Amino acid sequence: MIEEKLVEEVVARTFENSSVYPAEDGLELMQRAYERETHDSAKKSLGTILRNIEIAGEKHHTLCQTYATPAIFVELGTDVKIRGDFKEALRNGCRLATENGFLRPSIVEPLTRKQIGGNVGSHVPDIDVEIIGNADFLKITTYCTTALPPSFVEILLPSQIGKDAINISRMITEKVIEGGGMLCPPINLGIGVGGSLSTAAKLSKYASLRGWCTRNPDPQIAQWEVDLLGYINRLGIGPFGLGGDTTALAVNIEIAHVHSADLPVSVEYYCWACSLRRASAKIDAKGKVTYLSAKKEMRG
Amino acid sequence: MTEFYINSPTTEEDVRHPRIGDIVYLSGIVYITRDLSHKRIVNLMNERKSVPIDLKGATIFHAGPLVKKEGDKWHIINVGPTTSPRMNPFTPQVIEAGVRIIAGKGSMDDQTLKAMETYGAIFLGPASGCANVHVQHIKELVGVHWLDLGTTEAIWVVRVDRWGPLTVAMDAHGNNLFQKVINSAKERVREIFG
Repeated sequence: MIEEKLVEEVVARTFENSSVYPAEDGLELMQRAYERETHDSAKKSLGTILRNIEIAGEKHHTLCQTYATPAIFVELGTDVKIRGDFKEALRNGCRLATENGFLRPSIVEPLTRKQIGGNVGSHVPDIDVEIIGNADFLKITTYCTTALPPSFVEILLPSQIGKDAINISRMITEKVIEGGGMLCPPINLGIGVGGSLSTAAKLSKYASLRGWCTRNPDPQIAQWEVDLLGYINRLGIGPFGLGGDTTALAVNIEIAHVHSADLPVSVEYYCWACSLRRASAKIDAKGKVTYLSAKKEMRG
Repeated sequence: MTEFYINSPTTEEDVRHPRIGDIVYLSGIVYITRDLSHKRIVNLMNERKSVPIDLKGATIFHAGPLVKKEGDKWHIINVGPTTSPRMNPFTPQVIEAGVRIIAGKGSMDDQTLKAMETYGAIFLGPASGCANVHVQHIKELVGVHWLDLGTTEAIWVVRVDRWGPLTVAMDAHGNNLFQKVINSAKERVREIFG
């Protein structure tokens, strides 16, 4: 039996971890980019990011002042029992992390833009639950989702795809120029292709969850990820839009089968800090908690 | 790439030297201001009323700090640049009033670039998202004005020491590094995709 209160505490602690400590796969890519970068000023910029990450860890402060939109991905084993209001416990965990100073209160009403005074509102935090059959654990991943311009969803006609999806690659690459320094490069891209509009959008959000060092298992899509990353890094936009080799660190593409008449494409552009915000915890059926992908200093 | 050490408040001569791509380390007084305080400054100037900060030779940092109050004393926990183009409508006027250095995120518009060239001012890009690094260079919180706008929108007056590296992104000679990078990226797109 897992108690509601435990879920709340674990969500709050996991948000704290994803706010303060970088996801290790993303950090590894940042370090590699720093070593490879050939422009002096761009190398200095990447060095400043790495130093910022270090200081955040030492002082136990959030990596960057903002966290975009907080999101929770739940993997729920069907053999697990939870006592209490599970959904409210997830939301309360987000509320607690905000009160503890790890998520800046950034959420507002959509039209009046009035602050709601925290990060818990209608459909915020963004919560998804995946049911896992024959499993007796609950896994919680906290991360962030963005609407950082020029992130987009576009419905294409089949005739617009082009050979090896070259027209889609061009569209995604040109938008990186549009975003420029405002995207806080080096960026990472989560891309959903296919399904319905909402499936594509959801896949672009899920794309960040597999980790930035893991390529799509379909060799053709994996190649597309590598090619697209190559195109973007040939732009020379560089860290903070001030020039350099390192514009993007990774491209993750998820695909879904699709109706023969159209092709939805959804792209989330993640700033460097949002790319690193992902942490997980697993709770077994007896309530034992393990904080996953934990660094030594990660609180647990 | 040349490195410059500049003291703020500064002079026209100091900001005429650096060119885009150069690096600046800044020491002295910096005003942390953003949307609402800019609007109020410009409104007061239009009404020929005084503003509580001295804009002559001043440095403005587009940011909203994360702060906390202990007893009567405010502390800045961390602070990073916010999106500068939001301040486009106000910036030529504050430059005309004497501001020499602006630090922020993302390119500002052509009117701002023109004002920088005419009056002598530069735009510096502190590392985006690196709020914990920037706060380490703040040696003293000198004061705060207009807390009625909220802690994020108030004017925070700080003393910084060798704050940097700050990349010169727009210089006092009509050059814009962001635009240069974008123009070159557009050429690359044509090379890649035809």
